Amino acid sequence: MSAQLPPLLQDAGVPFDLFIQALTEQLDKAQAGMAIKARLGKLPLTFAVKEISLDLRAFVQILDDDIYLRPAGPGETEASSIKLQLTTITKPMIEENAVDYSTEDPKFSLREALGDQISEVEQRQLERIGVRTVQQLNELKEKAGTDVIARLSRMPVNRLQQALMRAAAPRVTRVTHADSGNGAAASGARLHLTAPGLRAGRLLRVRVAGQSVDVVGAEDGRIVLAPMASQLGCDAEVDFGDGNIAHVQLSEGQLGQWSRP
Amino acid sequence: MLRELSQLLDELHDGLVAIEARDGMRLSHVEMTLPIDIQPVFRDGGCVLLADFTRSSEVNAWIATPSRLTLAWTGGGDAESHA
Repeated sequence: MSAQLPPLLQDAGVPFDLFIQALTEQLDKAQAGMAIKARLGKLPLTFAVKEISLDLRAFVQILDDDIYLRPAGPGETEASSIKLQLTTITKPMIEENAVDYSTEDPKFSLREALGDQISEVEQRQLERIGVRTVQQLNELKEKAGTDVIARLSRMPVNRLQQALMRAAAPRVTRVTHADSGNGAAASGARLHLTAPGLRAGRLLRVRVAGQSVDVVGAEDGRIVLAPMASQLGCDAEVDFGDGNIAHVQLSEGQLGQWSRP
Repeated sequence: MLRELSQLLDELHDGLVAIEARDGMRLSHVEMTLPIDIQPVFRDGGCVLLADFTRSSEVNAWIATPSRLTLAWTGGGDAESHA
């Protein structure tokens, strides 16, 4: 790489998506600046950038499945030519195509939920196929199976299985409080637990310090518990009745862990 | 001097507004194709696109073919819909 380039610029250049992001940020900034000028100067917004295209001379290389772009410097004559064309897009178009991140609970992001079980590279591999949460990972496993996920994400099957196993541990998605009318013993709380491996009809037992926790609802993959006030926040043992036992803290957002039967 | 691309666009905008003010005309649509130097740099935890117009558009052994920026400017209103 040319010595004229800033030292922080990687030799390979920058990832292509980062480049596009930087380009659109600059366009947004310019557009916002022009709007402010027009308002402050009491001028009509005489001009706005309607379309922009960039014929970029750059070197392209692929590293770890990411496309990197490095604009050509003086004397570098063998660069590729990349044509980028951007045009005005409307708000409805953005909303129609954007991923709805608001429905994704950050507590169940791959990083938060799987912790050390997944490396940053593996996380990126899954994100590339649209999997950003453990729920999405479990849904995809149900629909497509482990082999397909492994092939598409290019993750080793054993690493993926470990991550899936961890992702399939029960987790508390929601805690609701209501007046139960059952006296001081019951908290009136309802604890919603998701457990992808749970099948209707299977006998499930939940215990806190040897004492049973009432199961008031169960369907495929979900159960509703009615714990006593003293059981809330405690570590519970969830026995799936098929030899699988997990432990989970009875608090909102907690992800359980499998234990050896 | 390399500066943020937005600053470059801002300067072009100033130039267009100045033409209107000076010459008393209303420009409705302007297209320009400009040779440009572009350098992405990592700054403030992100990637920033620096740019400058090349001093020369000459094609030679030193700069075989410069990158080119094509801009289409249009009269008011459309800016509101840009994201």
